[in-house]
Amino acid sequence: MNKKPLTVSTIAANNLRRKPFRSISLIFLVSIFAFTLFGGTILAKSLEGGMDSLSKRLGADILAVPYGYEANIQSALLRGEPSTFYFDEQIIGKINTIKGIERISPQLYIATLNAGCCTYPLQLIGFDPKTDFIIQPWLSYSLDHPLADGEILVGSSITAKVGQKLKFFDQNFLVAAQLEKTGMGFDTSVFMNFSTAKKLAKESERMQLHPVAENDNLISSAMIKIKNGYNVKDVANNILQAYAKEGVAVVVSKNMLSDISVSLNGLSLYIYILAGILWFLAITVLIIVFSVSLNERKKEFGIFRVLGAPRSMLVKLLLCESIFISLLGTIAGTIAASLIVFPFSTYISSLFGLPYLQPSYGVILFFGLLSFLISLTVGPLASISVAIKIGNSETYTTMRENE
Amino acid sequence: MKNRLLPGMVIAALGLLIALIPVCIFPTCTKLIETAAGGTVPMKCFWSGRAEIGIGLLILCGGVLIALSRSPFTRIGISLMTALTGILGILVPTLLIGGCEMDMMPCRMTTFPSLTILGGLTVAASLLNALYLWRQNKKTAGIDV
Repeated sequence: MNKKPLTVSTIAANNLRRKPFRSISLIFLVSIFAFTLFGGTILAKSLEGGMDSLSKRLGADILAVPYGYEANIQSALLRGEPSTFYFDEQIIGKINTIKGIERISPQLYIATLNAGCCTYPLQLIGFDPKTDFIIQPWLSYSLDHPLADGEILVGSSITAKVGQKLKFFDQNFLVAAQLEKTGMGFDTSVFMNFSTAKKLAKESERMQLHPVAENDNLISSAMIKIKNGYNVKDVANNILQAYAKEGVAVVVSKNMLSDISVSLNGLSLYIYILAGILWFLAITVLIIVFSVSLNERKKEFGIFRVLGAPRSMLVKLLLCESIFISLLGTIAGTIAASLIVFPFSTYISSLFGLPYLQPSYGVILFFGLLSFLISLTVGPLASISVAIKIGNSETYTTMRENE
Repeated sequence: MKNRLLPGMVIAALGLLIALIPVCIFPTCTKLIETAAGGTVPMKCFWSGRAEIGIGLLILCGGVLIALSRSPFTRIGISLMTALTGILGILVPTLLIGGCEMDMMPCRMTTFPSLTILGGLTVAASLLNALYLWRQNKKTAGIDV
């Protein structure tokens, strides 16, 4: 025997249980909205976080690369796609003569065939610790000494512990530190000083021909920082005018970031528009369903009134039913979104091909609660008009209406 | 009948998905590792995938048996065993065998997360079914008394 007291909430729960198809359909509708709202918000925030991280960590105003490889450097930075492109290191000295340049630092890119840890090609990046201003600033809180020969720094997506040895091209390298998650290509890159990178390129010659093994004076890119008061576009144009003939191309960081930012804003807007449409749709459908069911249930409400239930109880009953629907739909939608957005974050980021950095737990919790509350309002908002109608109706007319 | 069919079918579907994921939905990494002797061996994740096929089929059988068995006690027993098999399904890619080291490898990106989620759902569905059957049985016993 059911020993539960006959309260408004137990009657509401029993009403929902009595019409399982209708209840499940409404719960499903709310859950789709909650799924889109929570999942979409986390996606949008992760992409924004990746973008923020990229703009903070990139540090360089201009990237000088060999002509024709402008897209490759962007892929390497954004997604860590291994690339190999080279020009002569003398270009560093030449570019440095151009007015407005504060700092310039070379980088050397070597792509692996098979890494010891797995068979995923990695981007190995050689940098000059003396001139570097890109990697050093975020090395300082990961490493307490300058990077020595044979030592490497690994991105956050590479599962290796500090002190562990990783093998590339049959050579063992000591993991000196692991970098924090950046959400960009650096997460899947391995960093080393220039001499180690050049030695590695020579070792790789055993397996594949490598230009750096043939010519010791090659670099892949030059990271350039502009002095205050100079216009980045002017300096970039000056570099192009002077050295385009020597095969130098430039990528202006701001342009690259603004391009990504535009596509990102568009994506975020689509997500929020979709969530808005679904919110409106969920409320509309719920209003229709509650209105239709009100006509069906007029007699039921009339009987409640005859049995002594006050009008406020009928209003509470309707609101309680709608809250249960919203609550269950919101919980189901939020759980479903969490089961997709969090475990598949790496896959999602690879699908977008954009920097992707998941927000901190605090931010996730905040947006989780916010989307939970917004989804929860769907049911009560939809049932308000019907509840008011029921509250104002007369028992006698309600009972006789469908006769 | 409905009490047997619905949970049985849900658990069987989860088992089928677990068995199909490493084969065709989200396959494990396909590349081979070259050994020092010059031969090739599949990566660790391949063996995790193989084990998951077996675990998935076991869960599928559990679901079918839940749908077919009449005795609630038998169904409670099968549900509990299926829940334990679901836990095994989570442990294989995370602890017992494992997979590739890099987050960007297909097994780490798609295969293992989906297997872990499906394993979790199997555990939840089986335990809920066992709990439901136990409560139902208690109610019926109460009425009989």
